[in-house]
Amino acid sequence: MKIIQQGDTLNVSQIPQLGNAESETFRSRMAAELGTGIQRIEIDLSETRFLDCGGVGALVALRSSARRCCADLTVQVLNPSSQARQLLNLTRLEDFLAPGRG
Amino acid sequence: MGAQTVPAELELTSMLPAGLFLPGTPHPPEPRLDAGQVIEGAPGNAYHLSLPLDLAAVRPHILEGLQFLLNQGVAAEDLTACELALVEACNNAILYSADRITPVAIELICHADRIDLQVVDHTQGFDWPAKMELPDREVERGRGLFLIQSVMDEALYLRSHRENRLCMRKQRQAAPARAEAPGQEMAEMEKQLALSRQVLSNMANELCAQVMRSRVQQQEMDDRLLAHELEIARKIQESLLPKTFPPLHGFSLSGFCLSARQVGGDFYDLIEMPAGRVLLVVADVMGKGVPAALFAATLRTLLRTATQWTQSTSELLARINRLMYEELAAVDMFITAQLAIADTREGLLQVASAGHNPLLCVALNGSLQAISPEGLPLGILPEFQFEERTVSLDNLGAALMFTDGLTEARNADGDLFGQERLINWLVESRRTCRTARQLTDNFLGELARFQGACTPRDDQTFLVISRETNPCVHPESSLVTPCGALPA
Repeated sequence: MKIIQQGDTLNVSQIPQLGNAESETFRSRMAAELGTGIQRIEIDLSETRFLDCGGVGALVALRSSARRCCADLTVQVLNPSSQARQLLNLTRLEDFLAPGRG
Repeated sequence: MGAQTVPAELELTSMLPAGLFLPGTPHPPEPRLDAGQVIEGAPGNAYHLSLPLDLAAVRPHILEGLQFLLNQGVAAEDLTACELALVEACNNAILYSADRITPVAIELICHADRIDLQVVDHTQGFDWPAKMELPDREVERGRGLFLIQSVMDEALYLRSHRENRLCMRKQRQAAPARAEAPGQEMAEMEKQLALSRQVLSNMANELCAQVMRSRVQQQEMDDRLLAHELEIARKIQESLLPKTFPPLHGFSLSGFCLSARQVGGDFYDLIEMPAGRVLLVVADVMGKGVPAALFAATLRTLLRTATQWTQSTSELLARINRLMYEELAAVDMFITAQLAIADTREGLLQVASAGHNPLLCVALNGSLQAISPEGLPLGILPEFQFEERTVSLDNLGAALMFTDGLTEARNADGDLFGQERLINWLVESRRTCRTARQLTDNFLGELARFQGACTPRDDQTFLVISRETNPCVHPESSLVTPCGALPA
């Protein structure tokens, strides 16, 4: 997983899979980035070949934590792979986590 | 720019779940296969995996199973669905494992038209929701089952005592065209169908045996629990019987209560009243077991409370009848009861009956009187006036209050003990027994001899009053001797 801060935006990418097994690591690494003055977190799921319920839960948790940390801090999923998009669709979270993206 | 032609093989590969490779295409070393095995008797059609309780192991193992499905020609879209369903099922099986030891068993069965997946977990199990709904968007968990149901065509969760089995089914998309000749294809299909039937038959038998084992175990557990609860109820009911008897000047008292089951509807009670009087109670709730025991406990409590309101046996019965009528009538039950207030200062025994057996009194001269005041059982009519009779205690040698379990006791020939035999016993034994306790022991011996090996079918309860030290009269000889001088 690659994490780069560009200005007030945190770009998270190169996530090959985000399942239950990886969700704890993802949560802890994201938690470490909160409260560092960033205003936006972009999670790039273009390379994510596998996403499951646990991974979705981690994204939802990140969004909630970000809101609690800073009311203006937004979390957005970008470029979900077909499998990730299918899962976001099935769980009806596409607009919630990846608004404005197909 | 012209449209690029993508080789079919490459296009298929790109649609596959990550980590899977078409047969015959170059790919990294295959996943470790020692955990998985093709089920005997169904080569190529069923695959078994044992998954350790480690979330990180879930996907590698499932990819191994999916590789098996891919080798069976399962379409990429179906593989993606199977992968997601299996991962969700296995994650739950690991996260909620009860013993934290037993691996999760996974079975994949590939049919010509469908794929059956089974995940055997050792969790506490859960009730499969009748209607599957997604949680609120802000909630982190609780989407797994919804996903399984969304991507599978059928899902069934079988709970049992030892393990639970999630059975999932996915109808296969049209299989890609095969190169074999139609005849070969048909033969191959028939062969696979035969194997599938065999696997299914084996599975059905195994499942059936598992369900039967589970039912038996559940029944045994329920029986043990019920027996334990009934034993507690028996002890509670036993504790409600008086442990010490109030003093009744010049008389001794003794009681006996035996339930045909662990708990019963018979009881006796002795309640001390003002001015040295004692209320004696024998009651029989219709029926046996827990319902009867509950009413018996209620009646006992009400009697103990109601003695504060009235000192009349008929009024006591009338009040309790009014209080219990609705509850008894609602379940179509009734209670017979006999109440007697012994007043040794006045030398009187005041008796009222709610449809109960008569009170048997043996006078000092050996004559017997059956006292049977009129009265309906409790719970028949809400407003009823009970008759009250008064007997003198001056000439009373002994009295017996009893339930019909005594007179209706049967021997091996099916004969009833009967009231006549009971009267004869009372008259006879009164001559030789000095105390109520001796009369009780004597009667229990008589009853045991009569019943032999026959188990009582009804509760048996009685209460004995016996004059303590007065001399006994022997009618036959008219000889008056102190009871203590009589042979045992």
